[in-house]
Parts: sequence; structure tokens; C-alpha cells
Amino acid sequence: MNKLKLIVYSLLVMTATSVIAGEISIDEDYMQVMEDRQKSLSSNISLKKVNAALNDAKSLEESFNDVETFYVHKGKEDAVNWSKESRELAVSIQKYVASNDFDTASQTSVALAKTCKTCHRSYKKDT
Amino acid sequence: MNNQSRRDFLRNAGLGLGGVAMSGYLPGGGFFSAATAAELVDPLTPKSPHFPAKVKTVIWLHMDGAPSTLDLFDYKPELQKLAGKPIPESFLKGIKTSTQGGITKLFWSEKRTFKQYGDSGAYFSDLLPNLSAHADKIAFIKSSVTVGATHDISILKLNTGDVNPGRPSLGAWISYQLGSANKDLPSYVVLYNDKQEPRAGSVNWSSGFLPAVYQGVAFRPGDSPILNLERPGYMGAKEQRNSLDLLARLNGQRGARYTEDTELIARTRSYDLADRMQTSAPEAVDLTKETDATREAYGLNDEATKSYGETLLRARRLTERGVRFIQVVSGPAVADGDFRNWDAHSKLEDNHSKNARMVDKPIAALLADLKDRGLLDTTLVVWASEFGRTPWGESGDGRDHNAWGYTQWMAAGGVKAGSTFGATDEIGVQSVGKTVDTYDLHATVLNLMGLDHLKTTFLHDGRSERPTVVYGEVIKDLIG
Repeated sequence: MNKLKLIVYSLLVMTATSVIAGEISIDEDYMQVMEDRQKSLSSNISLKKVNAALNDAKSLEESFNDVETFYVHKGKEDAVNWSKESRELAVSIQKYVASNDFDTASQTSVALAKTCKTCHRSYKKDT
Repeated sequence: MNNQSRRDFLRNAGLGLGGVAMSGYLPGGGFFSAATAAELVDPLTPKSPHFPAKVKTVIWLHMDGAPSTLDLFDYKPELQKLAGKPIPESFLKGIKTSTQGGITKLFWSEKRTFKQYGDSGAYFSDLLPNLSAHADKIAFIKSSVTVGATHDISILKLNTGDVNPGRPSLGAWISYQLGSANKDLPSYVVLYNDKQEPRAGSVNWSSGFLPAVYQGVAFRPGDSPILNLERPGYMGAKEQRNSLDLLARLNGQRGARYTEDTELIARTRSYDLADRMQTSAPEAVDLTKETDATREAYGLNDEATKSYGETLLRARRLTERGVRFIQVVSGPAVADGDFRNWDAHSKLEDNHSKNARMVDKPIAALLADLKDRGLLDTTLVVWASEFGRTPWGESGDGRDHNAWGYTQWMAAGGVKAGSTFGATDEIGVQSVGKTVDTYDLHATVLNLMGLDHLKTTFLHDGRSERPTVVYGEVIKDLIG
């Protein structure tokens, strides 16, 4: 009986995971939106626009979560790590902006951009 | 026309005749339309840096065509050992190689030799016998990276930080943020030793979305550095001065009634700048007063080095006169033939021996001359290129483009002289460890000029823009 439950549970998890991964499509358009959001974040930190910067950073956090899931599904460990690191940096930026520490927020935003670039070096298609 | 509508007209028309007059002296034309009135009172007024600057002037030496730094500075005994063999797969991990020549066997020129120089023990190849004497003035960046594999795109990135046209060049940002230290000369000058302007063109010294007044002014080789700068033949100097004085008086009378009309002041000043430049620009590049010893040192007596030597001697004269940013683009090593630049897809040995000969002696002379004149500590010399070249061969005896790992260097003011930052792998395919992208190089140069790249900003279309886009890290290990 327990074995049956385990099988059913495993099937449910597998199905759910594949649905989630299947729903996320990380294509060039998705990445372009993220790039635009990153430029917006950088500008809003520079202009000390707290709410706008928080919105941008939160949006990036969610996007990197999607990217992380996407690469987990693809089994690309290095990309998963870069996505995770980027997501954590987006969370840190929110903390710095909320406490009006715009200098550190700005530097963290640069670190985030650099992590993106490192990942793109391996995974971005040539244009 | 009332003052309000006149102001609107001037703004809509690119700030009127003043803008037109100045645009005539600035390559690529352009108007002041992006500038606010307040900035136009005198947009080149000297401004304070964010923190004390280590240098006053940058001489930005762009080696056009991308030299093989594996054949100049980045000695790779393992490449020499593996020459003629296929490249081990492990060296290609993590990069996409889409260069035109494909990946062929590793290449090493039989003529290439390397030796260590100075207290630093930096390696220089046989192609740089003069520059090697200045090893201890140089801070090498041996983990340079960029994007793009075509010259025009990567040259644009080298100069503006982006692969798409429209952003200001580094010199324009410096000019915008610091203003001019010499009211008679542009604060940002471009020099080249070719009959025509460098390929990829003025977009590489553009002010982008900054006001046009901050763009680089290209000085042509020869005695007449700026096109259309001479007075018309029918007008004498005194006549022109009288005309300008009359214009200034009339503008002054009108302006006295509208003291807030800053466009008018700017317009008058632009006329005066053009008038002053007619005298000061030719004098600044006049080499006839240089001593025979100086002319010899820069290689002016040798056809192989003369044109580039003249360009660097002009760069030194402009440095003495307070020009903030001097962008020097290397021209053809020989007037006609296959070696218009360093782009050696074939016959690398022949190409690089000619191009290296063209620049080696003049650059060494520049460093020595700056030191002799007490300018070394306040002048930053940057040796840069759009990318490097691959360790594998192309066409049998050339090398392809390499954006993953190459050498650039900085010398003189403010840098950690005699140091090396970063490295490439054992055969020079790609950088290992911490890399230096063009944004990082720009951030470091700005830092030496006393500017925080994160606070060098300009509001454009509602967005705060900066020289390093969203990137940039000051490489503190390069700063002395």
C-alpha cells in the first residue's frame, strides 16, 4: 500500500514539475525583457527612486527564479548556479534600496549584471 | 518675435546659429538640441571631479585591426611546444568559436622570441625592442575580454561600451564630466595617421546622447588639422575680429534685456571658441619647433615610423596644452598594400613586423618624453585594441579574432607600474580567473581621472545613463 502511495506521489511530482518547466519558455524575448528591466533598475537606483527600483528588483528576482527552474529542467548545473546567484543578488538589492543604501545597491546591481554576462558567455546565442 | 517664442525657435532649431557654427568644427555635425539651457552657458567650464584625480590627461592608443598580443606580450611556451598540432578540446570549453577561419592547428612563428625586461621581468617579444625598455612603467591587463567578433562592432564597444551606435564615447563622458582645461582647444581630440578618417568612423568619438559639444574633434594629419577652420580668403584676421566684436556687442545689448537667455550667451561663446581655435589648433600641432633630438626620438626621420611618430608627438603637445582625452587610432604601416592595420588573417609575421615597427619607437619615445617633461605622473597612456588574436592559425600563417583573452596595458600616471593583472590559459585561448571587460577598463580610467563611473550620469529619455551601461568595476589592482 505504502509502495503504491509512493509511486502515485512520485508521478504527481514528476507531472507537476514537467508542467511548471513546460510553462516557462526562456527565449530571446524573455531575456530582452530582463535586460531592459536591469537597465531600468540601474537607472532607478541612480535616481534614488525607491518604489520603482524595488519593483524592478522584485521583477528580476521572479524572472531569475523562472530561469533557474528552466535550467534545472535542462540539467545545466552551471546555469542553475548563475541564476540562483542572480536571484539572490536581486533580493539583496531590494534590501539595500529599502534602507536607502543606494551606493551598495548600485554596486550589487553591477555584480548582478556581471553574473548575467558570465552566463551569456556560455548560453546566449550569437546574433 | 517675443523672447519666449524666439527661445523656442532656437531650441527647436538646434539652438540656432551658434549650434550650426560649432557643428561645422565638429566632425559629424550635430546640434546642441540635447543640452539644457543651463549647461549651455558654458558647457566646457572646468568642473570638479568626484574625488582627487591621479591624472589630468588620457592618451588612448587604439591599435586598429587587433594585434596578436600572443606575439607581443603574452609569452606562451606551451603554444610554441604544441605548434602544428590540433588544439586540445579542453581549451575551448565555455566559449563559442564562430570566427571566420574555423579552428585549425596551433600556430607559432619560427622567428618569434621573447625576453624578460626591467625589474618587473615583463615579457616582450622581438617585435618591440624599444617599448621593452619601459617595462617598469607599464601595468599589463592580460585577461581582457570583449564581445563581438567583427572589428566595427568591437571597436564601438571599445570606445563607447556598447555594440550598438548611439552611446557616448569614453572621451565624451570625460569631457562632459570635467569640462575643458584649455578654453582655446577642444577637450577631446582624435588623432590618426592615415589619409582618411579611421574606419568605423566618427561614431567612435561621438557624444551619443550627450550634447554635441562633448564629442571628439578629429585632427587630420598635416598642417591643417581641422577642416574649414581657416578664415575665408576674403576676410582678414582683424576684419573677422571686428565682425565678431560687433556681433558680441549686438548680442550683449539684446541679452542685457533677457539675462536668463543662456542660449544667446552660449551662441556668442561658440563663435569665440571657433575664432580662438583658428589660432591655437594649428599651433598645437605644429611640430616645426620641436628639437631635432625629439624628432629623431619619435622616428620622424624614418619613413616606417614618421606618420605615427608625428601623431604621438602631437598627442604630447596636446597633453601639454591641457586636452583631457586624446584618442589616437593607428593607421596603415605602409601607405599602400595589404597591411592597412594589425588585422593579420594571413602573413602575420610580415604584417606584425611592419605594424610593430611603426608604433614601437614612437610609443617608447612618448613615454620617455612625458617623463622628461614631468608629465608622466599626470598622464595616463592606455594601449588598447578591439580584441586579440587566436593561438590557432588561419590561412596557414595568420591568426583569427579572439574576444576571450588578450592583453592591453596602461602606463604612466596613477597605475601600478611594473605589474600584471590577470592571465590567459597556457596557450592563450581565453582568460582565466578575473577578467577585464571594456566596461571595467573604462571604469578604471574614469577612476584615475577622479570620476566614479556609477556617479557619472546623464538623464536621457527619463533614464539615468552612465558610461559603463549597467556594468563596470574599477580594477583596483591596476591602480598605484
